[in-house]
Amino acid sequence: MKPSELEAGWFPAGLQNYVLPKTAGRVVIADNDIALWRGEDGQIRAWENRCPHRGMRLSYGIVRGNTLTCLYHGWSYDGAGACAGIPAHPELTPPKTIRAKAYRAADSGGFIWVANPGETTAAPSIDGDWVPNRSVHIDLAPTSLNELAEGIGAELVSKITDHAAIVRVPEVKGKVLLAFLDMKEHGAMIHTSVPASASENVAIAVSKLSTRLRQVFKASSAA
Amino acid sequence: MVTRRVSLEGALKTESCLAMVSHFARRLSLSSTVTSATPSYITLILTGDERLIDMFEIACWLGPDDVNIDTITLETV
Repeated sequence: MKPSELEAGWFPAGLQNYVLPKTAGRVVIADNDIALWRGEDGQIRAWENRCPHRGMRLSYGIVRGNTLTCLYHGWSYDGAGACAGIPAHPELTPPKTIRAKAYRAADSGGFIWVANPGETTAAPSIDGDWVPNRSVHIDLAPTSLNELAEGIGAELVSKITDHAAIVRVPEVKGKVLLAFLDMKEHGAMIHTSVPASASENVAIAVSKLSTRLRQVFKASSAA
Repeated sequence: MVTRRVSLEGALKTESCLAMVSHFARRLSLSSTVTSATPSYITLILTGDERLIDMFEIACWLGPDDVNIDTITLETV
């Protein structure tokens, strides 16, 4: 995949617990392959999924402390993306120019958000405490939040971005944070969060809602 | 810091090859001056850490798809 810029704005890249501290994961946003990882400090980071050395996917890398080490030749990168060590040349201080391309990344509302390095707006700020509920893949990306909400008969309460909103759904008590990540020909990911105060029954109901969305946006039912 | 004259020979699509050379030199913090460039032969002068110049050589061997390098020569200047 070619490294390029994302569209403007913040994208819901996944549930907050998709990438736990000391682990790495992968997300594709439009045509952009992105490595997500957290060091021991818990901070989420999003980088171009390509080691500057040989192009290996950094999402396969190993997190030690607050550095990410490429699985291929062991080049390691600090939390800001700068190369911190090259095993074949242990005495060498790597030049500052060897660095991974870092996107902006943030946790909010139980989701991981990613934006271009030059994104000027702040990451979405979502009132209240939210906990991640469920991510599901759907075959066909909705064209808008409205279409997504209509798919489950939800009412938009508060729009967060073009891809995320707080909604109310008739069969669920309380609000639901609903987001979608458009992956073009690969369909889309739907992410949901619920208020931290929500009961287990609510969490289960929201999870079932995700299953319903999968049916609504199934490829075979599109015609 | 050392200085080396680097010669690349092969089927070099000049534009791609010069872009590659410039990209790797920049990434490896090497100072570079291209002294000649033809579709089959490119020479440049590199200055920087010797280990990084070695990395530059390896990187060039695995250059872009449309560049076919047959020989890389490094000489002390």
